Amino acid sequence: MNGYVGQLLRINLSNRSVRTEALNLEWARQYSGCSGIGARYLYEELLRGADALAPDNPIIIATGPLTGTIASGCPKYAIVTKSPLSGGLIDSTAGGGFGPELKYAGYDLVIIEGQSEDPVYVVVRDGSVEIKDAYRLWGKTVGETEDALHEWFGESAQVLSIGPAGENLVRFAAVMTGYYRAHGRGGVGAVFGSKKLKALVVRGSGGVGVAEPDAFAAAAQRALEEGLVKNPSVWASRPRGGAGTQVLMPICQEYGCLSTRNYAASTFAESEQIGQEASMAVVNAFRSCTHCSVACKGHVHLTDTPWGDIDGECPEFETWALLGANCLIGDLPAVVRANEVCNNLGMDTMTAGSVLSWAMECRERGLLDDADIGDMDLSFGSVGAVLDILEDIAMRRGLGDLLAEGVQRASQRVGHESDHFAMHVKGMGLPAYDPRASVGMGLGYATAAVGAHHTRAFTLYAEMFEQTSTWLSADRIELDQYSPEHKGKLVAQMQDFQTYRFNSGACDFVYGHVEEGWLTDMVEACTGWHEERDHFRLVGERFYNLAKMFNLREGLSRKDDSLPRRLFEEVLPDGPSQGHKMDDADFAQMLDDYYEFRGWDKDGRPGGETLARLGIADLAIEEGGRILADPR
Amino acid sequence: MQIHVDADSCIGCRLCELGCSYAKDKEYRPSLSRIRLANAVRQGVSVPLLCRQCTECGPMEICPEGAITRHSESGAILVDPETCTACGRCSPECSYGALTFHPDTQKLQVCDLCGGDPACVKYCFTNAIAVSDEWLAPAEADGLSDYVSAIRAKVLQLRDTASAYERHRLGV
Repeated sequence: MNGYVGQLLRINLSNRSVRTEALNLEWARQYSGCSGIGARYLYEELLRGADALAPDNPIIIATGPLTGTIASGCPKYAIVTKSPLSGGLIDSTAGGGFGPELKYAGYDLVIIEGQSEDPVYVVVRDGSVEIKDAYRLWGKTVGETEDALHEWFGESAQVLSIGPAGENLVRFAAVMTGYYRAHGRGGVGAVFGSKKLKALVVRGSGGVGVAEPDAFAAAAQRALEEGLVKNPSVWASRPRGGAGTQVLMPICQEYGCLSTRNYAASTFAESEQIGQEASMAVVNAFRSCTHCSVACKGHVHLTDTPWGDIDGECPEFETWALLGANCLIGDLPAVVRANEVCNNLGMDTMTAGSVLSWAMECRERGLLDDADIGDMDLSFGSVGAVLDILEDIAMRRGLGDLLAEGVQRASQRVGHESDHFAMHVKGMGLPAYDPRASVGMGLGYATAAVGAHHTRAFTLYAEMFEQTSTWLSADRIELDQYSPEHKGKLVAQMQDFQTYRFNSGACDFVYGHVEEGWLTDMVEACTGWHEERDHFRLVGERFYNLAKMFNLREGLSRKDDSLPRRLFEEVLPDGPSQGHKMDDADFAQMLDDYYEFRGWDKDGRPGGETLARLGIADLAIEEGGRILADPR
Repeated sequence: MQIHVDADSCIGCRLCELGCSYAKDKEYRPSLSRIRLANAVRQGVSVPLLCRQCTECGPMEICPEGAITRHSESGAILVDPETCTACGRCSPECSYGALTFHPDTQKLQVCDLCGGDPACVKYCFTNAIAVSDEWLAPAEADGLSDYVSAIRAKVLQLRDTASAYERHRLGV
């Protein structure tokens, strides 16, 4: 009893076999749960160079030690697989109730291998696992699929499912859970689709045991009361007091880092129309993920919109920014509708926003065939075009078929230097924070193993508001938002702690502001593994070395740890950072510093001694007749 | 005493369920909880379901073993697990949907108000459930708007159809 159930479920869809195995607890101790242990299993099991959409690419669903316990704000779990978008690692986490339910059913981890010929869904009820025909569900939206599965398996069943986007192998298709929670990034939905796996249903009557029940209950209570309830920065986002992630809209507008017009600008004239106050005015209830007292999700009920009544979830900030500001759409119901459409089609709202804004700019520059556009008004700010194209992408119709490939592949096909303004890293669309106003965010995007991701190292507050960080030193070190200085270390340290959070099962939005002790005390009482003081850093370091080794093995290298050219070649035309752009030499310096801090060479390759120091020399692989990261 | 419900304030976090199961059985296991959430995720509504200590208790009346009794002071409904034979006859008698059954023994589990200091309430930071000295009739104690009542009814029905479907599938 140490937070882990100790068992994994292996399902092979090719031969329809099912078996349970003991969980590798040594890996759980080294990497912790969720993305960590998931990535370690993937590294072991993926055939080098296998296509992301081939049967050889397993889907790994992994929970963490705190998932399903009373630790508030720790229900998270990850889907780990090879990304059809980047060709490298993707670990995509979500909240909701699926992770806890999976553990109650008796499994820490599920590995899904092979490929079914016909659409199927899998039902896990405690020890019983059934692979069932999904002909009645295939083609249905996420909402319809969940409705049906709840009708068949009960209101308390938890569901993971894909929509038409995943079925049609859109490279940024999401896996959805609980209607509104998304494993959005990296195209995990397409991997489900490639396996003809429509959904996974789970119900469990079991529980989660912890190693030191009294100490754990006390630590969880302390984290809840002292860390979350009394912590004003967390409470600010709570019901009726705050706005969830939408607190970021006015901040990004004021500080001039809001993705606008496909990153041609950093402020949006209509940001207030889709801003914090406007969006909260239409929220009629705040909702929580399972086992979290910070209800950051708004439920909206809009009547008399051009699309009828909308009863559903309020978009997150990233969605408001990327489907809103980035496409120059300042129409509140339209963004709510676009969010609803993406959720139902099972598609990442963020990458969808960057793909659409890229297409709008291509049209403006006359780079798209008129035949592809048809009579669609694909100009910036066109609501109708956005809603139409989202459907076209999911169904792979016309221009949508091109955009379904993601902005990197689409720009390669269109040519004419359209890659200059294709805003992605490793194929993953950029989040909403412009690195020209916060260069550390840029380094974070470039070095996150999965591509441009904002939660792996969120340096924005440290660079812009605090202008210092305790991650660097106990003494105050001045940070400049435009300077490369200290950014390598800052990003690496933030990535490492963030990894510890995610891998434990904790949500970064909830635990983003609390001291690491709140979390480490809970994890240690949960697992009973009392570690040295910097254990949480080691978990992060091990994960980043593992992820890097994975990506190197799949052919990614230093050139992929980069940022789109627009950021280096065009200055920001507006906002507080007007006149600023990224500098190539500065960026190279940040990247060098980062690699050096990690113990990697100039090409970003882990050294053997680094892996040995971390106790993970078993990751060394043969490459071109020699050993990469040779421990000797 | 009674636990009053304000469903409009319920955020659906389910920490109450784990607080209950831990207090009763030292396990984080929702199936052991005496309080359960009826959760309509799509509509953004959740309603805590637990014993309302009704003056006329259907399950108590029908129990052939007399395993269900009432605490003389608090009015809490108590179940004697030694006497309960897991016959399940009480199941349809609680019009309220508040009965749960132990997943391993199938015996009845009911909220006993934790002797006056309910564990679930300690984990509710939005005051969706709160202890009161006043006893109210079930509908009032729950303070449900018509909208929430309708959703609650639908969720409970969903629970029934789902279990019927499962029974049908399993041939029982």
